[in-house]
Amino acid sequence: MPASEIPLSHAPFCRPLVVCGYSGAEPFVERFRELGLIYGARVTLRRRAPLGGSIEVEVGGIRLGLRLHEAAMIYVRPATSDAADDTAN
Amino acid sequence: MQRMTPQTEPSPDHTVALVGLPNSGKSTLFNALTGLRQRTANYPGVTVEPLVGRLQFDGQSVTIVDLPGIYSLSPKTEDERLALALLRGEVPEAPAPERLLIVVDASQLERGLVLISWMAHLHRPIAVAVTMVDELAARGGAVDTEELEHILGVPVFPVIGRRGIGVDAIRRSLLRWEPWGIPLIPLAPTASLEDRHRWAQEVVQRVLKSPRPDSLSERIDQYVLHPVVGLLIFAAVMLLFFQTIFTAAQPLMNAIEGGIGWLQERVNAWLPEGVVQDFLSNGLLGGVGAVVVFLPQIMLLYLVLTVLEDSGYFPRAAFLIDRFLSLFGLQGRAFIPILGGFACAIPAILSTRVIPSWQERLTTMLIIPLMTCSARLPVYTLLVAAAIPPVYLGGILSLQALVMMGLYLLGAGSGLLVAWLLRRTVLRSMQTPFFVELPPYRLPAWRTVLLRTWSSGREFLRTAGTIILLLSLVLWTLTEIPRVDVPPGTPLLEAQRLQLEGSLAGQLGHALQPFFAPLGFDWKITVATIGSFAAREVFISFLGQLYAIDVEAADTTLRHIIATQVPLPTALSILVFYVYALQCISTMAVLRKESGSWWWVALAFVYTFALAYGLSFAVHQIAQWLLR
Repeated sequence: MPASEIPLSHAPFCRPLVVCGYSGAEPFVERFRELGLIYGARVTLRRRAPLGGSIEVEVGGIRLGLRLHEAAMIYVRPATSDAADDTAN
Repeated sequence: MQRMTPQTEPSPDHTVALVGLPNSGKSTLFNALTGLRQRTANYPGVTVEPLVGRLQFDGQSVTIVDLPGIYSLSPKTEDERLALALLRGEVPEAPAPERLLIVVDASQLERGLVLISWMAHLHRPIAVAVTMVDELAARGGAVDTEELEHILGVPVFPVIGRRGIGVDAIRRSLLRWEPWGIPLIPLAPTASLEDRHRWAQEVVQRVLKSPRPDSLSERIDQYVLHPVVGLLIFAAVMLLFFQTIFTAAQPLMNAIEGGIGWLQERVNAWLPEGVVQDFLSNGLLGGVGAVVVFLPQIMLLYLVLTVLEDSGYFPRAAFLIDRFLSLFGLQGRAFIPILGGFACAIPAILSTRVIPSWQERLTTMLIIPLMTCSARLPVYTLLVAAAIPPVYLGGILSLQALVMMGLYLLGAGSGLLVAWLLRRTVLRSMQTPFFVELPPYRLPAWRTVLLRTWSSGREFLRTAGTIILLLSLVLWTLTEIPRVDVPPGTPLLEAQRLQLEGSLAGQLGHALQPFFAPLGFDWKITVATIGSFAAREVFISFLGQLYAIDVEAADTTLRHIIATQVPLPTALSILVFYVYALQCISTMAVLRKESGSWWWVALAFVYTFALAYGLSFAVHQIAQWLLR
């Protein structure tokens, strides 16, 4: 995995990111993908939950609260500046 | 309304299913379509109960099934499994829906289209309802529904479910059974999610005028999800919630109890004394009262819950508190049921339906009885006032108040520990991630709120109410049979005492006393404890009867008797017993209904009883040793 790919749980806040991989049990990954976190999806980390433990992400126009250790199953990399096509499958 | 049992009475009805992503406005549309002509469907063996409603006009009738939200054709939770089984006609008791009405949130068109692409593989005629078009318009966006109709080749209805706009067109189309279509989608059943999204994005580009971002919700969330302000708001909302179901329900409950009491007096005045009078007044009316008295709390809880859900605050609160509850294997959404348990376990158990994962929902249900409900309060008050000296520690802290608080904390803390244990043993499995969607803030639709409040009350009476009534009658029988011959001229209170002592309940208490002796219970306390397995309040009325005193006339007399005749270790032991024991047939009836099996009721009863017995024994022994 290239160095630029980081788990969503450790990604920087308020930067445009792109989903580029997964690690974790099938049903988890499936559900995240059904929520819109598919390969190439643009995602932004919005904020930490007030008590910690979870983060809020925005993907495809919806806002999701995810637990940190589950968000760690999704890998992202910084989005390239051109908005053309990040889809990489 | 009629039962959906086509194999016994073939019905010419058409059936249509409402399908949509969670939070797509499905329920609001369902309520707008069917109004009061709805009920939950009770399919044997399934724990999730979809709502079934009916449209009727001019001899035509259409049954509408409101399915739990789904994302695709591969289920991850119990709800989704059931929804898909129903869609495919795999539930024998329910007819497979002939058509699907797919509900799509206008502001989440892309995900909605992906769902449509999945549903197209079921080869069922569909129509699409695009909801919340008003919200989109308010932010300067619009959906070209005619173009969407053209692209998909199926009818598309723009609706504002909360205001009932556009609903008539759907109703008409259903009643006339106008032809719908199977959508034309250039995707194979094996197409990947990426391909589906790419297709959906192309469609979105053709039909959607993009709205401005939702800046209002964002501004509100800067406070609601703020590390400090957010927690304060959470605490305030919870306090308000608690106040509503705890305090606001009280006058209504008193009124119901007063009304039942008045009816009982009438019956007692009209009928001669004897078994018939006693059956009607104490057995039947008492039993009905035991059911109806829960209605205010249940309906108020649903009222508040629906407002919290529909406004969008509930998912934020779940997001906020999730970390704390995750320590015990529970999830953020469990906080409402747990908090509700401090008022009454019955509505609290019903409200666990907000938790999507079955294991987490069941765990929450099983620990709710350990939250100190309002029925324990009279028992606590009596025993604490009678047994704990009214001293002030350091001149300010009342020892009695400290003991009271300790009892509440003991229950809640034990509940969370039991949840932790259950999630690591019987209810382990964890196949779905925790997530909450944070929808835009909305004003709740009062129509939906009132409809849900009303149906929750009706559902409770129809299902749990009958079991509660039945069990109340059984309990009445135990205290009235066999009849004891009381010499003529015996004072009423003494006669009541003799009857209770000689009844099956009294005999049971005598027989079981040796078993409760290690806890310090004498036979009177044993009988009162047995009686309170019906409802905890019975403890006081039984104890009053056994000491032949009129509880209502003089509560202080009973307090005095306990203070002088019940030693402190025994009083403490009773208190601990009441913290843990599941002494409420109504809770057990609702638990049976919601968990789908008496086995879970048995587990709840056995584990709470084991804790109650074990810890009461320990407390009694320790207190005796300390006070020696």
